[in-house]
Amino acid sequence: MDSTLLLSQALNGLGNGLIYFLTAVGFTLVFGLMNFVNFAHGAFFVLGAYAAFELTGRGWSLWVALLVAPFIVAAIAAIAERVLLRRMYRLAHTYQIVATLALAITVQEIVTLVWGANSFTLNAPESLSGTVDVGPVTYPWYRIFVVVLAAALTVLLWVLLERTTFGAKLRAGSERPDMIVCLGVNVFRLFSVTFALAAGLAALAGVLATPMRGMAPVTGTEVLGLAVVVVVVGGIGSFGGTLVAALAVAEVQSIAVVYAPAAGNVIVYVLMALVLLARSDVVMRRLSHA
Amino acid sequence: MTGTRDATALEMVGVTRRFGGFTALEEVSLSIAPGTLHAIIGPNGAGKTTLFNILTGRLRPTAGRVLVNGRPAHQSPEHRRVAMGVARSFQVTSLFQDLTVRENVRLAASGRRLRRALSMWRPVEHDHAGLARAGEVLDQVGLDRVAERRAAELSHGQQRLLEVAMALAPRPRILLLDEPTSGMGVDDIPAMESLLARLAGTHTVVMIEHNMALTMRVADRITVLVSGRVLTSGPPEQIQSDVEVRRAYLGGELEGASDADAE
Amino acid sequence: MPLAAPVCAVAGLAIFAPSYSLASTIVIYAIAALGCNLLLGYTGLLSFGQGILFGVGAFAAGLSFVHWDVQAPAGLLIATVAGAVVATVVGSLCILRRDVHFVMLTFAFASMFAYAVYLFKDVTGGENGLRGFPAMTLGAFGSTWLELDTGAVMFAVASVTFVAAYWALTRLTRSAFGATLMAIRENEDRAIAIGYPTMLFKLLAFTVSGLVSGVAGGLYAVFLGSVPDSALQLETSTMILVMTILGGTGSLFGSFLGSLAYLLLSHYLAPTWDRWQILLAAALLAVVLALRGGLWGGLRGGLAASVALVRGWVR
Repeated sequence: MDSTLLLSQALNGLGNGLIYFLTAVGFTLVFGLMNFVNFAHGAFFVLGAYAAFELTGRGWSLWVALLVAPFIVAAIAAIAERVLLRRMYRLAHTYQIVATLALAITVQEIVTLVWGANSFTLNAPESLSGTVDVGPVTYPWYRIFVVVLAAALTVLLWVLLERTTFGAKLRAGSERPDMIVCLGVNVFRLFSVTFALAAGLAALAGVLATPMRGMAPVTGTEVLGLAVVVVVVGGIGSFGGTLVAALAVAEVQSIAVVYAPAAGNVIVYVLMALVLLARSDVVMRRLSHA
Repeated sequence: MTGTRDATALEMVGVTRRFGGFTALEEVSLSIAPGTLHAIIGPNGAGKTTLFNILTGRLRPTAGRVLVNGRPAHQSPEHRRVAMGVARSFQVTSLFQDLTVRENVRLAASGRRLRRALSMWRPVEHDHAGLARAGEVLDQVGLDRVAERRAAELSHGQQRLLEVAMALAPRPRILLLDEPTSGMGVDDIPAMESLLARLAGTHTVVMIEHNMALTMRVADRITVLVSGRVLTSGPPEQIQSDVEVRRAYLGGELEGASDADAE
Repeated sequence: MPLAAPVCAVAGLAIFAPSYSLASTIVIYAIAALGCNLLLGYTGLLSFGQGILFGVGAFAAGLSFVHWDVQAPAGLLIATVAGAVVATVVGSLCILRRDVHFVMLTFAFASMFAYAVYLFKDVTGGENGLRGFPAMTLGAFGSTWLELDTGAVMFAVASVTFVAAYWALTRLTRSAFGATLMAIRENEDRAIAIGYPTMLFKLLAFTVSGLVSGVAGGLYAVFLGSVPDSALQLETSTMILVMTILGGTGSLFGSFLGSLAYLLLSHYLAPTWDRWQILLAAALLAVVLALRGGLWGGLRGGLAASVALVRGWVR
């Protein structure tokens, strides 16, 4: 087996994994804090990329797009949360899934209407084009940049959650939503900010991903599927779990490309199913008796 | 196994329940005589709901045993406890919101009849036994006039009564009522109290309550639970005058204990 | 008269539909949506697996036609059994979890089956699908009663199956079993607390759902004279789900309305407007948002509710 191919795929897995993490972490934060399952989360990923497309189309560089697109999408998300989604927090998860899925399909259709169904790509900025030798592998600078930036954001996010007041409120609220109200926290504002943050991160991930893999309106569904897998495997609301799961999923996909190209996604879903089944009450009880 | 020890309807022997590092219940032993109304009181966090969850099979004890009419029950899963004669109402109202009041009670009445519930062909109106029992219970509880309304449309007080009705429906030998008057307004409580008074004597009732005045009036025996342990147990008069019990409730008066009216 | 609704529905199609082909398709997917609705509207289970059952039914029937040269009724029976078996096996695993985890498990199985079509392309024909059916005939044990070679006969067969399935499900949903499913939908924990072994009920719901969606798949195979690979893909699951929700999950008739609406829109709009599905998406969103009804049990409404509303006005 070609070890350089394997190595470069493993490196790809790292970059992809961090992008999956940035996408999935928002989903899990929202689920954990607001008990809200947002199956339209993939839309933020896609909208971020299209916002970048528009910005770069007007002459701005990708750097600007990376900075501005997340805020545009975060703003859209904040409005959607306030106007529409807030009412769904009290409803059953199944309903939330159906409603946000309908929303996701609608957004996808609108995006297709505006920009067409074809995929597009963004060009990596001049300064990041070209490759470098990483051991035996010749690796693109851009992908290295993605790893560095995404890792930095991951650390920043961790700091935000573990070392700031906002993060403390978010974590407390995820465990005992009823209690944080008593502590004088403006719950609505906390929800809005968290939701916007989730959307912004996903949008950023979308912009980062596009130069590597292209983007099309239908990408949202695929991304959503993977994000939910990551969250479900990593544990809802868990930062560390989501990170590990995201990296694991990406690595499995990347390695699968080498050995069984078409099977990558299915293998991911099979593994998720195994994890879910292993964690079921029935199995856990059997295990504890053993 | 033949014969049951009817001397105690429900018994917990040395029940301990841990959640990771936290001990919710420690060596709790309780003995409940048939036909009595036994109240369990204690400050918040004392472990009362955990105790109920163990009695109903929602949780397994980490150690100790639960005996229902002398038979060990602690291994039985929740849905089999009803067959063993144990039925429960919930502190946070947990009804079938979109179904009618009558249907809520019919479902509860027929819960132990698996073969009936598996009938896929004959219309549910053929569940004569279940429907008859539902009618009986609704009369007993005073909800007969709202029988055709959706459970979601009832007032809070009526929903609490429906909670108890659903526990009554399967003709249980042992009724576990978790804060039956929770959230009820002053106007609704007398209806619940008279229902409880009617039940005591014909049923074995174990009740968690915070309403002290009501508890003192209807209970035959009271057990006080504090921080997962049994502090003391005895008839209402004894509990009322127990210094330790007063101290357990933040050193103040037992709420409403000196008041003749409901709180 | 419980049969009035489905009979009127197919009669209406027979009179007004522009072609038997469209009418048959509407009826076939209506049956699939009935199977989906049993799980979603009555038991409260959102499953992405309806496409699996439909596709398995189609392929099972198709394979029996190609390899064993059976007649249509036998093929349909095989499709029904195959659907029920697969539904029971897959369902038994998925119900080990609840809520979002359950939904994700159904999604996982749906993708596994979708992949299997290409993995086992020697059996399924891969991208080309399953072809090479003999002429379809109605009959049993070698004797033929009728050739299944016209649109009208096909429509008749589909309609009879639809009415039969509708009737059976009407009885089922009105029975004590159906009442228990609804209780599980409303509050599974309470259902357990009052003594129902809810896992058993959910599993049986899956089995019945498999029977119904399976026979729909079988009809599809008979209708097309082949089985396309799309029959076992996620898009089929999504389409069936959309039909079910659009039509209204609170009633069986909604499943027919959902199929009708979806396929009529597709028939009239798709040829001229590429993005016709945006209307569908908007309609779906409107239906879902209109169901402000708080708890899960409120997920009904849709077209069926609108029809009931109109009927109310007309009276």
